[in-house]
This record gives sequence, C-alpha cells and structure tokens, in this order.
Amino acid sequence: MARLATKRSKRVRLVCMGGIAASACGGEAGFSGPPEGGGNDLRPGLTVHVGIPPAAGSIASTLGWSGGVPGAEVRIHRFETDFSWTTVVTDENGFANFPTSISGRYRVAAFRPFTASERQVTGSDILALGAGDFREVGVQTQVDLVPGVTSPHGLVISEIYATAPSPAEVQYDFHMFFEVYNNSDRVLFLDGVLFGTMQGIPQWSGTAPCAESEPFRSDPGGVWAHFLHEFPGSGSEHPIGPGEVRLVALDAIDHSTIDARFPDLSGADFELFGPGDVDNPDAANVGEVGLEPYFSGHGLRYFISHTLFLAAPRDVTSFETGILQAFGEEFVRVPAAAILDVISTLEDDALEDQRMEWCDEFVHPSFDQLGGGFIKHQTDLGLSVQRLVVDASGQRILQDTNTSAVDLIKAPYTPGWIP
Amino acid sequence: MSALAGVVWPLPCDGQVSSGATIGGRVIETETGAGLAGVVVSLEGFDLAALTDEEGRYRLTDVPTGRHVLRAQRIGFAVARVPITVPADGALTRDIELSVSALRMDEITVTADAVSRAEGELGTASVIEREAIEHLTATSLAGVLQLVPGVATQAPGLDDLEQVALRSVPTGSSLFATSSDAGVSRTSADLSAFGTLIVLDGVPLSNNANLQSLGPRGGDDGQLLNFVTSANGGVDLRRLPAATIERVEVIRGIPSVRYGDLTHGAIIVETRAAPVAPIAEAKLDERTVETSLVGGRTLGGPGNTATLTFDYARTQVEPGASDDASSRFAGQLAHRLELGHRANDAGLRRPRFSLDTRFDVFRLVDDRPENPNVRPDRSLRSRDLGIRLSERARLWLGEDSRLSFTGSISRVEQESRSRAPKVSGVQPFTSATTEGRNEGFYIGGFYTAEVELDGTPWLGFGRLEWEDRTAWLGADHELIAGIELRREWNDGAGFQFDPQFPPSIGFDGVSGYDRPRTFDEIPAVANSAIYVGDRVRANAGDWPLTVQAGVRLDVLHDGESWLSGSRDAVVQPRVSAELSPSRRLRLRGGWGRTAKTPALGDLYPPPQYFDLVNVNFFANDPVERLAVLTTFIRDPTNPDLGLSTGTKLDVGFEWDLGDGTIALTAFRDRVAGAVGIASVPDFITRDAFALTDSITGNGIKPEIILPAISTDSVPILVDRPDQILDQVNRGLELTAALPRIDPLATQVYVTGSWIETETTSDARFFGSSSAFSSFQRSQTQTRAPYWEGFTERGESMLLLYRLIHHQPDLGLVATLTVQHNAVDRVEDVVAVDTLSFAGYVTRGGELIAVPPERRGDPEFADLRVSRTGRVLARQGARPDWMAHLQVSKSLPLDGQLRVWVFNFADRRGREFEADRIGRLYPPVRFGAEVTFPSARFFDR
Repeated sequence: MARLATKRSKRVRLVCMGGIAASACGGEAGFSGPPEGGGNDLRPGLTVHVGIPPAAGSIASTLGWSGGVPGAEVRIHRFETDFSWTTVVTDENGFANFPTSISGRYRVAAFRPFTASERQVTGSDILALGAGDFREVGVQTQVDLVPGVTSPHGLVISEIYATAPSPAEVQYDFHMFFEVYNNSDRVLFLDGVLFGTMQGIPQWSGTAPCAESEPFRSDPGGVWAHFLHEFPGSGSEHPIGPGEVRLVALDAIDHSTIDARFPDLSGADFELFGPGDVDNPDAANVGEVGLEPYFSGHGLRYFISHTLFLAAPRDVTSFETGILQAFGEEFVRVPAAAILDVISTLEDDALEDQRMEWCDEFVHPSFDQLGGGFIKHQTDLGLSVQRLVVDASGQRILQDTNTSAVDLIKAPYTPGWIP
Repeated sequence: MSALAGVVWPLPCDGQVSSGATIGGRVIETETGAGLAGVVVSLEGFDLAALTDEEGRYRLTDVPTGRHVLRAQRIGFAVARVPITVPADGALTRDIELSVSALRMDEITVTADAVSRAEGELGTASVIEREAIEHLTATSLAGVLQLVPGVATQAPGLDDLEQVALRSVPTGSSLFATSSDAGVSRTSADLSAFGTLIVLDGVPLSNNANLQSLGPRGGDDGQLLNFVTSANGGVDLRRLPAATIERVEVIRGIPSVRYGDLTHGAIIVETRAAPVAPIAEAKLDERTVETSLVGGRTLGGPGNTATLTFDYARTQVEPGASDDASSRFAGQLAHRLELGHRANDAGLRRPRFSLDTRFDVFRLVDDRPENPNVRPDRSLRSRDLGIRLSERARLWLGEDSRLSFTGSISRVEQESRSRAPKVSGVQPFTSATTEGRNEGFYIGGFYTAEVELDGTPWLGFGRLEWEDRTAWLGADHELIAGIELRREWNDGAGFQFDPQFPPSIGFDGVSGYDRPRTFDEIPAVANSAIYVGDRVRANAGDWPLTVQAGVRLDVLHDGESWLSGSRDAVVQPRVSAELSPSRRLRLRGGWGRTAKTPALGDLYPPPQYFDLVNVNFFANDPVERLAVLTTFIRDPTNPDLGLSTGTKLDVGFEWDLGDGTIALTAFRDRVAGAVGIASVPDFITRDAFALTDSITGNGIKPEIILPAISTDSVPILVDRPDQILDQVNRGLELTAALPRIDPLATQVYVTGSWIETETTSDARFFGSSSAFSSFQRSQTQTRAPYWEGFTERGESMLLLYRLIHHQPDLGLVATLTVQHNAVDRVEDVVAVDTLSFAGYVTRGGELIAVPPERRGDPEFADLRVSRTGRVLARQGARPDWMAHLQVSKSLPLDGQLRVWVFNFADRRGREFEADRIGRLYPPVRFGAEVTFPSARFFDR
C-alpha cells in the first residue's frame, strides 16, 4: 500500500512515495486530486480523500466512481485530545472534510462496505474497503488514503479477549482467549500454524527512541517476534472448515469458578501451553517455539495492545534473527510470505496517557495499515475485540482490509462463535 | 560531653625521644572573660593533655610540629576545637574560649576537619564533633556522615534503609539497572556497606547474623517480600540517632590492628555520656518529628556518674497520601565508675580502675499499613527491637601500662510481616518438604498470601587488650596487644507461611520455591582474633615521624565455639606512617590488609527445592484431576566459604595554608573473595508416566502406571554462595578549608571525591531464567551456552562546597551547602556478542569449555546467541547541583534554634534519557530544631 505524505497547501496534491506503482496514485505519477474546475475546495481543517484501489478498479467503473470512493465512513482521532473517533462520510468524489480539526498527530481511517445490491451488480467478491494511516497534520491538510479490500480468504484472527478487573497489581488475566476463523470457502488445517506477537518491540518512545525500533516495526519483509506458539499436528490432524471457528484459550479451564465475571473456557479447542501451566487433556496444546518461554509459564499473555499474527507453518529455526540494541533483546523475522493475518490493537488506557509518544506505525502497512480495537484493559470486562462481520447472508465473512482500525470492533465477548 | 576526660595519658617524663614545642595559654569563659579551672586541654589524636589551674592556665610540652587541633573540654561547656600550627620547637601561646553555647565561641567546627585525628589511629580519617552534628540537624548517623568526602547530602528522615559505603560508588542502586544474574544477587553498595565496621562505644555492631531476606530465590515477584531490610549489607544506620552522638570518627584509610571484621573502613561512634543537666531537643519538619533528651548526674562522687539518653523520631513517608510511616526509639543508660583516683604530674586525676557500663535499647519500625482505597488487602511491617549490654573495664597497671576488657551481648528481635493479594494461573503444586514423588494439588486464582519472617540475631563479643607506653631505641612506643572473641547466631522463628497460599509463584514446572524454615536450626558462627601493634614516634633526621604498624590474625572457626578448628584464617599486616618535613606540610601513607567474615545467611543458606511435574491432568471434572510432582532438594551450603580480604593503600598530604588547610589523599582499596551467589549446574531426573485412564468425563480419577515409560535428565542450577566477587575502589579525596574571608565572617570548606569502583563477578551465566527454563523443558535440546564473568564499573565525582558564615557575637552560624554531582557513570564491561559464550552445559549438568578460536565453528552454531540481561553502556548522568541552607542561632537561656532548607531551589535533577542514566533529587524540604539545655536551672 502506498504510504503518502502530508500536504500543507490549499492545492490538492497527491505525492507518491518512491517505489509505489503509479496506478496506486490514481494512474499518474505526481499530481492527482479533485478534477479541474470542480470537486471540493479545501476548507479550513483536515480533509481526507479516499482513493480507489487498483483491486477495486472494475467495481469503481461499474458503479460510476471516478474521483474517489463515495459513501465511505472516514474516522479521525487526534492523539492527546480525542479519545473517540469523529466520523464523516465521503462525498461523491471521495472527500470528507473535518472543518474544525486542528494540527496534531492523527489516526485516520476509512471504511466502505459494499451493499448486497452493489455486489450483485459488480459480480465481485470484494466485500468492503478499508484504509488507515497515522499522520502528523497541520491545518488545511489533506490526507489521502488508498484502501485495502476484503474478499474471503484464509485464516484470520476473529476475536481476542484480554481484559481484567482492577486493581491492576493483582489482575487475573489467565482467562484470555483468541479465535481463529476460516474466512475462506475451503477446508484449511491448523497443523503447524504459528501464532505470535510483536510484544517487546516498543510502540512508543518512552523506553527507546522510535528510530531504534523502526527497522523492526517498518519492515516490509516480515513481522518480528520474540514469542511464538505453534499449533500441534503433523499436517492434517486439525482441520477447520469454511466458516468454522476454533477457540484458543490461554488456560482451557472454567475461569468463572475463580470469578463469576470470567468466561468458562473449559471447552476450548486449544490452549496455549507453557512450562508452569495447567493442562486440560481435552484441549490440544499450542506449544511455545519462540526464543524463550513467556514469563509466568502459561504461554503468551497480554494480547491487548500488541500486534498479533498468524503465519503458515515454517521451520522457526530458519528465521532470520536480529537484536534490538536498546534492550539487547533478540527477535526472529517471520517472513512476509508466511504471514496469514495481522491485527494490531491498542488499549484506551495507553492512548489516554498523554506522556506517551507513539511511534508512527506498529507494523509495516502492508500487513496492517492502522491499529485499532480500543479496549480499556481493566474496565471493559466482558468486552472483546472482534472482527467485523460484513456478510452474514450465508457463511459469515469477516472484514479483513488489513486495517485493524476499521476491521475490528469492541463488543461483548463470544468465545467459540461468531455473532 | 565525652566521658574521655581524665583518661588521657601524658608523655613519659623521662627518656625524651622526640623534641617538640611548648603550647600554653588561658582558657576563659566567653561571656565573662574569667579564667576557667578544671578544663582538660588535649592535643587531638595524641595522648597529650593538661588541666587548667585556678586562673585557667594550661601548658603542654613536647608537642610535635605540624598542624594539630587543640581540644578543650569541661562538663557544662561546649567542647572547643582550636586548630594550631606548631613549630618544631619553642613556645606557642594559644588562648581558648569556652561557652555553654558553641555558637558563641570564636572557633566552631561544623564540618569534618581536614586534619582530623581519630584517637589512637594514624589512618586517614574524618572526625565529626558534637557541634557539627548539631548544625547538620541529621536524624541518624547516616546524615552525619555527609561531611565525609564521597558521601552525598540527604534530607533528614527515617523513610528508607540507611547504609554507608566508604570509598565506593554504589553501582546497583537506582542509578543502575542490574541484570538478574545470579552472579551478583546483591548490589555492590551492599558489599561496601557490609564491609564497613560500625563501632558503638568501643563495641562493634554487626549485621552478620541478619537473616531478614531469603537469598536469591526466596523473594517472589517483588510484591510481597520487599521488606525494608539491610540483610547482606551493612548495619541499618537509622538505629543510631544523631541527637545522642557525641563524636564520630570515620577511618577511611588503614585502621589499626584493633579493628577487624571489615574491608572498607571503620566508623567509631561515641555516644553522649556525661553528668550534665538535661538537654532537650525537638525537631520538626513536614515529614519528621523528633525529640531527644540527654542528661546525667554524679552519684555520690565524681567517679560515679550516670547518663540517660533518649530519642524518639517518626517520619511520615507520604504525608497526606498514605499512612506509611517509619519510627525509631533509642535509649541508653550509661554508668561510669572510677576507683583509686590519683593526680599525675599534669594535674589530671586518673583512676586506677574504671568501668563503663552501657545498656542500649532501640526499636525501629517501618509500617506500611493497608490503604483500602488504593491497595486493598496489602500491608507491610518490619520491626527491629534491639538491646545491648556492654562493659568496658580498664585497669592501670602502672603509669604507662593498662589492661582493658571490653565485652558485650546484644540481641535484636527482627519481625517482618507482609500481606498481599496474589494472583496465580492455575498450576500443579506441592508442599512436600522431603525428597520424593507425591501427589500434588492445583492452586490458582486470587488469594491473600501472608508471610512472617522472624529473626533474632545475637552477638557476643569480648576483647582483652594490653597497652603499654615505653621509650626504646630512641623512640616513643605505644604498644598494644589483644585477643578478641566473637560469636553470632540467629534463633528466630524464621520464615513461615501457609504453603497452600505461597508467596512465590514464579513456577516453571522445575524450579520450586523456598519452603518455611526456622532459624534456630542454623549453627552459630565463631570468630577469634589476636593482634599486636606499635605506634612509634621518632625523628627521621629533623622531621618528626610517626609510624603505626601491627599485625592481626582473624580466624573463622569451623564450628560454633572458639575451640573448634579453623575454617579460615587471614594474617593482616598493617602500617601507617606520617612524616612532617615542615610545620606546614605533613605526608602520610599506609598499607594494610583486612578481613571480613561472611554473613550467617551465606554460610548456612536455605535448602533449594525443585518440584518437577510428572503428571498434569486438569480434567474439567475436579474428581478426575491428577497432579504428580517429584521434589528434589539440593543443599547449596559451601563448606569452603571463608573470609574475604581487603587490601588498602593510601597516600596523601596535608598542607597548612596559614589560615586554611588542604588535604588530598589518593587511595586504592581492593576486596577479594567477597561472597556472591554462583549458579552451579546439576541435574535431576524426570519420569514420564502413563495413566490408567486418560478419558475424561467418566468420573474416574486416573493413576500413574509404574514403572515410568521414560526418564530424562533435567538440568538445574543450584544457587550457591561463593567467593566470586572482587571489588577495586580507587580515587582521590579532597578536604580543604580555604582562608577565612574576614570582612564577610565566612569561610569556605570543600570536600570532594573522585571514585571509580569496579566489581567483578566470576560467576557463570546460563542465559535468562526463561531461556534456561526452555532448555530444561526441552525434549530435544542437548546443551545450552554459558558465559563467564562480568564487571560492573561505576565512577563518581562529588564535590561539596560549604560556605560557613559565623558571627560569634550573635551566636549565629549559617551554612550554604552546594552539592555538585560532576560525574555519575555506570556501565557493564562484558562481551555480549554471539561469540562471547565460554562453553556449554549438558543436560547432565556437565560444563564443557569451548576455546575462543573454535567458537565460530559450525558445530557450535546453536550456542552462538547473544548474552542478554546486561545493561548496554550509556553515557553518565549529566552534571548537576543542588543547594541547602542551614542556620543555627543561639537563644536566650543557652538554647539554640536551627532551621534548614534542603534543596531550596527545588532542583529536580536529570531524568533518564535513552542514552543517559538519570539522577533525580529529592524535593525541597525544610524544618526546624530547638535545643534547651537546663543547666542554668541546676547547679553546674
């Protein structure tokens, strides 16, 4: 996906970064934007333009789009002052104006589902468009987004749950779980699939300058991780059919016996397993294959506020390694070709901490354009981060535009099923 | 006022061996100008004294040339300390003023003098007298020590543990994020404080038997067992209130052979004990209140006096935010009996026999009660209650010979209580305390853990010493010889908790947790020592020369008594010398060895438990659950643990500027064989079992089927105390008193130090705990790398500038203290690259070294991982400063008022940066103190 620069003039300009195909910038290298003699005049504030991605080119022409994506829901969120999204719908040329916006650092996201009738007209299996970016903007600035598309494909992380009640120092977080969903139309297998996190690579500058962690956060060649789990099986022992979900618990036990507000995960299909862990014989163990076991011995915890990913089976010993010098910590690089799904979530608590200077991106935009999924870790008990359902007419199709900010919503948890 | 009056010795009248000058003059009362009789005028650091006659006149003969301090004292008056420069011969007249209030005297010392002399000592020392202690408004001894080069200033208070590390940079403090390597399980600050001897009224205090910690694995995730404790470190100096201290001698250089069980230095503390009318003091600031009372009286005659001191202080740690508080009570009843008085040629009355009895009691409490609105169900409380009975008996066997016995018995009740909510993921667990396989149980969820840690360290001490003065081979000799016995033990109830609710929950399926343990099963430690020394005064040509030399032998015994064999012994020769090429220049130097006994907790560490999970079958139906664990116990006791040794070297000079002095000392102190924790690889065997029934939902609990279907070795690491730490401290110390600026009535004092500390550990590192845990659990990994040793290096340059403004007519002293932190730097000196490993450990616990030239070979590819856990070198903290103000003013009726402001500019300090360490200053604090002597209302 193109990563576009901000602009500080009244003229509409679309500046393409080196290496981006000209077609991604509207078919021309250099300038593009509202048509001469028409379109939007920029008004004071922030303007967002949602462009037409190449993958949706034929849809756009069928639907009569020209200047941009109309009817897209554009959200902005300014760090340091806003703790919720402000939403405006794009006009016929794909522009959304936020006239009262002031300069600052913004998270900008856009989402456009296709209606059933639109899909019937176009005959495409693309279900939605989603885009996001993280920008430093001034007044009278235009941000251009080029969305990713959702069409049914592969395995995705459909839900993560990791909230705990206060007080923080004794928070019980062993009741975490996540789900893997088959978003495709064919049987897939979980044998050897990798589940990991970018935890340990700082997302903000408080512990290390962003420049030090950037090579790990902005690497188009792969996703870096210290902790990894691997689903059991030798190839075909753990099938997952189209539209099926598998529940993976940190500890596959009935946590409601510890606190009635916690879920019962004793029926989970899998459990993450560590050296000091409880072992439910009815849940297959997803063992640790990373550089070291996760501390506390129960496997990977703290799903919230990190970048999580699924990757196709690979020999982890073949992964390239690298050291984040600021901490002397080593990471392995899961190659891009193996990546199946990436989601990035953030905690509301962290976003509201105005001392935090967030780094520009948590992972390369080719994997996830913009993190999302606000969760208040200690107060949103019972709420999880779930992937949006864009088509419930038959098999559930989950939103997957590679933009967590629009692909994920916060809702009451649903362990083991898709609402 | 010290009880030293009347116990000084004059020079022998015959056999004159060193020429000197004569000093005479009058001692007069400041307010009236009248001569004062009965004043003892002595030369500090020398056994040279005289008594003033009815007109206040005194005369000292054969005074050695150079810069000295005349000391005049009489009960009921503040002690006067008058610096003088003595010529090689001839006569010098020096009048001295005495006043009830030191502030009204022309000469007042509120710092540690540049030419201080500790009594009977020739090593580099700082002497801090009562006036300086009062002016500081310190709460405890630690606050008093800020006058010593290398010690930073601090605001008074009791809220945190106080230790002192002489001539050492405290790496491992908040400035430095140490790794979790077992090789240095305690900080270098602990090591330095542990090696600093504290002597109270002639009897050493000891922290050797303090067991209020649980070794490298006893702690949990840091939330429960973080008691305020000085175990494995030095004595907690909060137990010694500044208000009851008369004099402190800080021997930074080479101590005489009289002092043992030290590596870094000795701090000699004398408490106030004199028959004076009660003196009350009260101190108040935003956090601390303190009150003290000192008073004494004669009981039926001048040779029979009793003194009572009392001090109570309380610090509210966060006023208005929490009820956390620390408090201290300290009291002493002192009695002095003198028999057989006779006057010597100098007119001083000297007893044939004296007996000093002191009964000390202290109580130190750190209370962090539950705050239900902030941290519910969580509380922490530590309490030390100590008593000590000590006797110092002296018998004069003639004019020049004396026999002394010093003995004491002390006991401290140490209680620590902690309660905290814990959370644990469900996990298999066992409470077995013997080796073997047992059915365990599952713990997990929320629970409240409560821990009790009760220790009762005892110290029995005795020293018999003979002193003799003689002239021989053209020199004056002061001979000492002595024998010392010491026994320490701890018979407390120990570490207790309910295993169903354990405090340590960092469980990885192999490592266990520290079980409850009583302390009374731990043997006592017995030490003995003999020493002989001589202090010789002679002339090297025309230059006065003093040499103090001796040898001390310390023995650490095998068993609990001094009749058991020797476990370790160290011979410690020591020599210090002082040469005065001119009356304005003095050269000094010294070299010596010292020895320190290991802590009781290191000699007898707790057994180390390993709980291996064999079966972990957590079925949904509780009836069907089965946990089986095998417990292994390893004894980490190191029978070869012995005395650590110190080698001290320092050279320096003192230069008299006329109206000022400069003293500069260079030193290099090395400690070898200090105790750290070494990881020793071993292995245990893990059995895997088949189950009779692994089907769930049928209501049947499975059983294991014997024999085991497989067995493998699981490598483990045993944390064993070992003498793996070396520390080298080198640097410079400066003490300067610049010439007085008379128009401003101000004098500038500068103390400074530059110190570099290197602490080296020989311990092996086996990777992070989680990496080693991964190795333990693996079914395929056959070996794991290990690394050898590392060095922590710290560097500090600290300067303190004191501008002292004194107006005796007003009874006013104001001190502006500027602390200049010029350099603070810490770093690890260690290789961390992928070729830095030294070898590998097998699953059987065998160590295989890999030579450096082969570490790049393909067969060792799996071992080429970076060494983690070491802090990458960062630049030091930026230079910074803060300033304080203290004002002392005499009040009517001989009272004194002192006000102080700490960090009056409220300088914050330096924040941590990505490439620099930080240094934060405490916030501004202010307070006041008043003293009310009541002598005016009683017969003087």
